[in-house]
Order: sequence, then C-alpha cells, then structure tokens
Amino acid sequence: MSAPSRHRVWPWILAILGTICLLPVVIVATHIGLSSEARVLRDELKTATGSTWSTRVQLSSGPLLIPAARAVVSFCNVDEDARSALAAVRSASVGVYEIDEAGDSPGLGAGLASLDARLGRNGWERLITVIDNKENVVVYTKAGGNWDSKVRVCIGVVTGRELVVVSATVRPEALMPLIDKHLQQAKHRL
Amino acid sequence: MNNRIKLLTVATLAVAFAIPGFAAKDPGQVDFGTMPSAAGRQFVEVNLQPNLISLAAKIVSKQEPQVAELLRNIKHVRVNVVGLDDTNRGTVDQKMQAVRADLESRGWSPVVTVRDEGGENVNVHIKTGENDVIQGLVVTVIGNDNEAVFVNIVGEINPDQIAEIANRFDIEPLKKIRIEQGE
Repeated sequence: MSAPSRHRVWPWILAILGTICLLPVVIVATHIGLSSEARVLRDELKTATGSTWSTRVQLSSGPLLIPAARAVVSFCNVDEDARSALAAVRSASVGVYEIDEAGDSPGLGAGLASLDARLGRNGWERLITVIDNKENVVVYTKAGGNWDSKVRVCIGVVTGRELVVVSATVRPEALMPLIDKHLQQAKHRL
Repeated sequence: MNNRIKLLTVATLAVAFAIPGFAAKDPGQVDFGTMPSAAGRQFVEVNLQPNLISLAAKIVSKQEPQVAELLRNIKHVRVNVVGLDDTNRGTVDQKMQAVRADLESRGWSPVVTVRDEGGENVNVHIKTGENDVIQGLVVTVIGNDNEAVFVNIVGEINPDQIAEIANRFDIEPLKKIRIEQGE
C-alpha cells in the first residue's frame, strides 16, 4: 500500500527541483530584457537614427529588483528624496546604447509616425516631443486608467552618441510629499 | 439598403477624420494635424491629456489652490513649436492659414491679430459657449525668429483666467489681451 503513495511523491519532488533550477534563469531573463514598450521605442529610435548602436546597459526591475533596492536603501543612509522617489517606482526597464556608426537618416521627425502607430496599438500616447540638434526626447504615457494610483511612462532620449530608453510604472501619490516639499522650497526661494 | 447605410457611415467617418478639427471631440479642441519638421531645426510637441492635468492640479492644490482651480477647468493642452527653413516654411504657413480659416468658419472669434514689420504674425482665436465661458483658445504665431507656434487650450476658461493661463503656460501673445465678459 505504501509503494503507490511513494510514486506519487516523486513527481512533486521533481517539479520542486525543476522550479528551483529554473527560477534563477527566469529571474535573470526578466532582469536583462526590456519591457515590450521600451523594446519598441528602442527599435524605432534605432531605425529612425539610421545609426548602428551597441548595448551598454539593459535591465528591468522584474519582480525582485525594486523591492530589493527598497530593502537595501532602508538600511542605508540615503537621502530622503531618493528614498521617496524609489518608493514611488513600481517597476522600471532601462536601456543605454552607444553609437557605433552614425547614419544619415532624415532624423527622428520622420520616424514619429511609425513609432506612434506601433506604441498606439497598445494604448500609448505621445505626450512630449523635443527634437533639436543636440538632444531628442520623446515621452509616451499609457492612455486612460486612474492616474492617481498608477502612471506608466516610456521615455526615449537620443543625444549625439547615446540612446537611452526608460519605461517605468510610478505611483504618483507616493511622489506627492516629495513634489510638495520641493514646491514649498521653490516658493520660499521666490 | 443596409450596404448603402454602411457605405454612408464609412464615408462620413472618413470625411470627419480627414478634416482637421472636425474629428476633435470637444468644441474647443482643434486637431492641428501632423507638423512637417525641418532637418536640423527645433521641433517641440506637447500634448497634455486630462488625466495628467488633473494630476498636476492635485499636486499644486496645497501650495497654489488658485492654479489648481484653473487647471481643474482645463481638459487638454496642445503645443507645437516648429523650426522653419526653406523646406517646410511654405507648408507650415499654408497649414496655419488653413487652421485660422477653419476656426473662423466654425464660429471661433479672432481676439488678437498682430502683423508687425519685423515679420511677426500672431492670431488668437477663442470659442465661447454659454454665459461667455471660453471653451477653447487657439494661438497661432509665425515669429520673426524662424519659428511657428500652435497652441490649443481646451476647457471651461473664465475670461478672467486668461492672464493666469498666459503666465502659467508662458504664452506671450495672451499676456497682452484682455477679454471683457459679455463681448
């Protein structure tokens, strides 16, 4: 009678061992890739510049990094503003790329329509666009939803030699005390 | 019959989306369409949606309640700044004339018109609703600094708040105007 129950235990043990082995792979995979919107932004900006780029940094907060950073910061002597800012971030995805070979494309302006179309399919709207000789910035936000509890932004910056993409989910109410404090300070200075 | 209705609906929608401004939902909202940028010239586009404006109102409500009140009445802000050169000057100029003509054909009132010798060309149009409340405001400028500016502010704006808006959003032509209620 005891043999069948021993057989039934083995699949569970194998499943637990498999999960333990796969977990680091999943964690690493979620932390080195970019979020889908940041990936679209990066690819479109690369195409629009017509240049070739090499990756310097590429990471995502995943399910562990931000809480871990918060935990570490809580034990360190870190500036209160940085602590508040970190408390507001729920997830983030960052990519930094360096130019290998400059292209001769007509510029970012020509790529905006394609970028709008691709991100727009998933409900992203372009909020701010700045294109000039030195620095190009595009900021997208996820349309709709309750902005009091969650704001999703996706930012792309192209300077002469660098391309940076950031996608983040932020809790605005956690930022309120920080903004409030700085508004008060600015008012006093005036 | 059903096919005709479908065809008519599709055609109506197609025309609606093809005409600048017509597709906009709010009476004060104007769609400037796509702006042609010039290589090497500045291009700025800001498109503030209601959720962001209400968030901003919430942020400043403690420190500056008057500004928060003003922001609460604003639904949408769009700003376009387009650097001009020979490749896009004609197109942008035509677009600006088309926007102004379209506004006037749809009952918007020109409240400021400036043409100076230096080449500056400024127009401010407003759309008023019941009780003289301004539902929309459009500022179009071709400056003598090779720059064209298009601004559209949508919301229920009290004429007394125009100066505050001009200062907050730093819109120079608006700083000069004063709209009397009942006009």
